[in-house]
Amino acid sequence: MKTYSLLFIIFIASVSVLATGCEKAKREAVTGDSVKIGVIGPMSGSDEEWGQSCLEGIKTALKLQPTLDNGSLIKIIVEDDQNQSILAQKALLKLVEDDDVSSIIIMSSSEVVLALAELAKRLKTPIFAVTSTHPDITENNSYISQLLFDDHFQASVASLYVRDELLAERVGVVIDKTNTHSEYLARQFISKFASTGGTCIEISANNGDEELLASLEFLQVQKINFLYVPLEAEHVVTIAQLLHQTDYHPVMIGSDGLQAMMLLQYQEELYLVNGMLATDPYSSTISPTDYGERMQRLFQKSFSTPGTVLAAQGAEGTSIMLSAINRCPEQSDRSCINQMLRSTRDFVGFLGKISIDENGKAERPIFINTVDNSKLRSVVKVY
Amino acid sequence: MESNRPRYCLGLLIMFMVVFSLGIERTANDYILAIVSFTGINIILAVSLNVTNGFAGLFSLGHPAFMAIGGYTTALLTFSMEKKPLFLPDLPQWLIPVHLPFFPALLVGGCFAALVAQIVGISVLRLKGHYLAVATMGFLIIVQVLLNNANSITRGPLGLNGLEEFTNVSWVAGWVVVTIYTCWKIKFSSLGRSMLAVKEDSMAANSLGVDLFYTRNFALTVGAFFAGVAGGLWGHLITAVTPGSFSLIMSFNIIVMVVVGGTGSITGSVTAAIIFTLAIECFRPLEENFGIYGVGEIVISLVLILILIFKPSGMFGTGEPKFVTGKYKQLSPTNGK
Repeated sequence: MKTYSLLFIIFIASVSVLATGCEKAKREAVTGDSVKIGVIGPMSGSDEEWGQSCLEGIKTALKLQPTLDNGSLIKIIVEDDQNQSILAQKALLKLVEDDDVSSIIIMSSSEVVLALAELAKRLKTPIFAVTSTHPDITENNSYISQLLFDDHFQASVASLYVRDELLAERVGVVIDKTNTHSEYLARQFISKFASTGGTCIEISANNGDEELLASLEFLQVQKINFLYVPLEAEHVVTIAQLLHQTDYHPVMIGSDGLQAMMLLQYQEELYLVNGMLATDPYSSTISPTDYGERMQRLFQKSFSTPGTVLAAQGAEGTSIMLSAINRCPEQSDRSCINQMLRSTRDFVGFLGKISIDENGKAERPIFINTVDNSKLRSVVKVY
Repeated sequence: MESNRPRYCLGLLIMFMVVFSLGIERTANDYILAIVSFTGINIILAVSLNVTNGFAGLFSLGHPAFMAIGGYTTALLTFSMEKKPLFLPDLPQWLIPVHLPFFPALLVGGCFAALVAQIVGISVLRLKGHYLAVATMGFLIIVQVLLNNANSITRGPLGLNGLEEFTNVSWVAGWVVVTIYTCWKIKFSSLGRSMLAVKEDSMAANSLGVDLFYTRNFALTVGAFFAGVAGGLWGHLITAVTPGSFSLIMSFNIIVMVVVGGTGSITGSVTAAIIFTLAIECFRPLEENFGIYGVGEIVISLVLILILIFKPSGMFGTGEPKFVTGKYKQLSPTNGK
């Protein structure tokens, strides 16, 4: 009897929850004249802050431009993928088939976006990847475009800067072999650095703190004064903490998004990475454009914080997408939106002009920033 | 006397699967079809893990590892010959001309996972309880590390994407029937009773002549075979396999299905797999509308806690419900034929 009561309660609870959820969705689907844009990203799980920060940028862009040129209201439908390909795929299918969105903005990692490539082609739906930078994302993928420069360019810039400007001959490269972003950047950096006559010594970030400390001490013995760390903030903080215990203080060079995550998650540890350099799409010491200023003001007003690089990416991605939709005669025509997105020319973003070529690759400036007394400062801008 | 009810139920299941898959493929949109396919794959995973965890009492956390082995094997065997030089330029020479249709590739994927299970079983199955759980978790981590580092074959953490979308509801439905039928036959065979005896009291079972190692290894191998097949179906449904997909979280989700359904109950695993897969999807609108993301996972964890408190043996215990089995209520090593 007790068993059946429990089963009955679970059944009733499940049906109620399902009914509530599904009913809400139905109601949403039939409301007014609006253009729907799907947003997929890690809204929960370990990368939650990443997704939430980006979403704040998207919402700010929509506050700045709540309607299309023809007056249609813009509605975003956000789906959580926890940075997992299986959830991203289900989210994409739901957005396209059930919600009938005109286009998708995705804030997930490169491997997740790559896993959607075949499906995006079949569904003929434009996907704008605002955070992923792997070059394969736009390779033979006619419906996925990128907002940022790709890793090939980013690693080459980092490599040439270290070689030509910092005059380094030997660099230690720390690789996280479980991370596509890290692996690709490290390989590209090593290849470019070697082509200019430099030498790299690889060490792994995956073997635990003791092994990592031993590897760092080995680099110290080898008199390596530069460390390329294309890693997530968590790993970089660990390295910084380990280095803090020693008298070895090499200059660290990170990749895009690193400093943003450091500011978001590791404010108190920023002193450990004083002087660290990183390639980034934005810089806080360069004067923003009109668009950038308006967006920053709105962001500050809405969220009472100055906003992060990720929020800027979300905002720029949304504004570029809206501009592409506006240029289409039929604003739910996915093929047209894709074509217009890939013919974006000189869109004035936060700090400069952004163009997207017919292959979906972005052309935009890249900055090298440094952490200076717990604040970010721009060192150089590369076009 | 043995009841004919299971045979009727099997016939009904086959008929239902045929009608259901044909019907839904003609009427539903891609999203619904994907959800149905994922539900079927979860049924295969939960039922096959039940053979290992439920029948033989081996607390294995390594199911996603076997799934990964099957998934990658199937993906490599079906990978388009035109894409191979582009995606896998460093593929070993002997693997370049290898190409199989989907069905044989799935079987090879399943068999390879089973073979690995046999080998792993030789050392791991000497352990029991928590030690076995830790060892199988270690195996899962080893597989992930290998997949991340074998760049020439697996493309490292990037994974293999651009796979052909072979998996559909019919494929999944077919494998669901095969999995349920096979596991059912095993459960109600002398081998199944041996497994249960080993689970209840291994020393007593051994003294009665049950070969402990063979019985345990067989349970692990059968579970691994179907996990491998599920991996192949999964990879060709989402058209990509990445090392990060086969994680401990996935292991946790499958174990929750088995525990909630009842460790040892096939009907329970099927029911729990359906409820959990659909529940997560139906929480999506709730998440969208109220902005509470991850609520599905919270509810699932709560249900697990409630089940463990109020009904530790799960929804159906170790047995099958009367409407399926006819006369049998509960299976134990001593009842039945």
